Amino acid sequence: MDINVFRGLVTAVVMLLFIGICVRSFSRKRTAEFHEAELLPLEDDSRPPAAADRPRAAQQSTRDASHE
Amino acid sequence: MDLDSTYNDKVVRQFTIMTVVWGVVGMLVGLYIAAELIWPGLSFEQPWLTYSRLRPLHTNAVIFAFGGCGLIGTSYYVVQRTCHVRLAFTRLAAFTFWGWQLVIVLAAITLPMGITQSKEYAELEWPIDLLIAVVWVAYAIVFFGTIGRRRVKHIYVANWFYGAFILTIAVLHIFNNLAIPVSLTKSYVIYTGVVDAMVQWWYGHNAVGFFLTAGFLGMMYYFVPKQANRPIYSYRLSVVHFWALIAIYMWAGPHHLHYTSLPDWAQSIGMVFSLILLAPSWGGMINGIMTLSGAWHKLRTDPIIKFMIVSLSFYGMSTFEGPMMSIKTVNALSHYTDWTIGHVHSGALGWVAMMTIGSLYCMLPRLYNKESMYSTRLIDVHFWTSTIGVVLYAVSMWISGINQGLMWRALNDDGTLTYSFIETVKFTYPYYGIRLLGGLVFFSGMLIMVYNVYRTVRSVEPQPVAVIEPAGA
Repeated sequence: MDINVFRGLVTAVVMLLFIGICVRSFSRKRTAEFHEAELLPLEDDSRPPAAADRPRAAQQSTRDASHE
Repeated sequence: MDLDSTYNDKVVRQFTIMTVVWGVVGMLVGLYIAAELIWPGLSFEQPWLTYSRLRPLHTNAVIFAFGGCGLIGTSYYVVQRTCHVRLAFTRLAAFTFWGWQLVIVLAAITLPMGITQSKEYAELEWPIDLLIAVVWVAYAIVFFGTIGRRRVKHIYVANWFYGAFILTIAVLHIFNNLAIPVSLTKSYVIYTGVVDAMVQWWYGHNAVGFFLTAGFLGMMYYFVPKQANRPIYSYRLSVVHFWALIAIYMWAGPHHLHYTSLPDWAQSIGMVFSLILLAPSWGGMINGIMTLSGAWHKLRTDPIIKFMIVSLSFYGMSTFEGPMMSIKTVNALSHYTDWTIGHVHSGALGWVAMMTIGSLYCMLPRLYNKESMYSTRLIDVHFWTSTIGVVLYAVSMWISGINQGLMWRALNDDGTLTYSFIETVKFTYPYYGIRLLGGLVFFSGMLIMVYNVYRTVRSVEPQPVAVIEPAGA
């Protein structure tokens, strides 16, 4: 294969790959999974042991409702 | 309590404290060499006090000691929290801490002695390079081992960035430092001529792209949502800009070699990829800043959020400035001038240091079972010293650098140079003074941080923290 044909093909493949990543990321199917993932840093588990015994529901942070 | 049911925060605490210590040391050396540029007599005719030996000590200390400890420490913290599992291989993790400190101490001894490979940001000689490689592989095993043991399905985006940083730095470090040793303190790099230069800047620019960008974006993706108590603005954007960023950064290195003997087409590739980089870089900046959308009032009351948002603003500014400087015609003016130094520091102090400082203020009380730092007021003072320090630094270097470039290229009608070199040196004098002042102001904030950290952790016996149960368990 001519090297320039190869270069063109690589460019096309990489472009399709990028479009694929975009389509996959923005697909509606990912909504639930991404929502679950984006809450991971908000979990507050690093409390002093005394406070850590509280029920989990009380610890779980959710989106700050103020000023929305 | 069963060991596996608690987080390994000991190693995180060790890295965190050393981040502050090395930050102070590295910036102090920076101040000293900034003063040497004004008063060259400060080297006192001692070879080990000369600018040429202390400058690599400064860059290695702030990038690899301050930045490195900050990155490894926070990555250990983040990967445990977001994977709901204790850090893998406790002993190996301890080895990464002590190994990394040994690397730093060896650097602090050998660089002033003049033992160097003479490759920028890769000055350390081969025995230390081998030690770095071993420590780094151990770090990768601990980090990815923890991800492998995770008890949640999804790998949070911060870990993707940390992971890309760890893998890429391993590859960059090993290939850039391939050398033939001739004695314990001397080796010859295997690459020659322009290939050597290209490999060096493939390494050098990706040290910026992966050490100073991807790693700190990992930090950003955990600590900005954490401190703002809101999820990241767009998780979808984070996935897209992650892949775009790591795919494009790899090719931007040649912009360090414009108008050299590197083939012209390679220079053009470097320039084009640098320009494209604006998009994924700003994707990260927008994602971080917009996380505060709807909660901007937090900027008024929370100095830690201020650190993070101003850091992201500097990230946006320097990732705009960088692509502009990579354009060949702009580079013809900016290259080899102080403009580059200003650009580097608005990235290093503005983005890297301020994000690290903000993240440490967020993480440190949690590591010591406290609700907050000893003094929030002092965090606010630190914020203003940092911001004013960076602005003084960047502005003085813009003025000095752009004028250097203009004076160097100015020609008389008969084609001779308008200015002699010493005239350009004379011109930069006052701006070197302002740069030193900016550095001093920034450094004073670090001392405030030391006091605040000391008062926070003093006489605390940290208690182990229980690993969170995965949702639905």
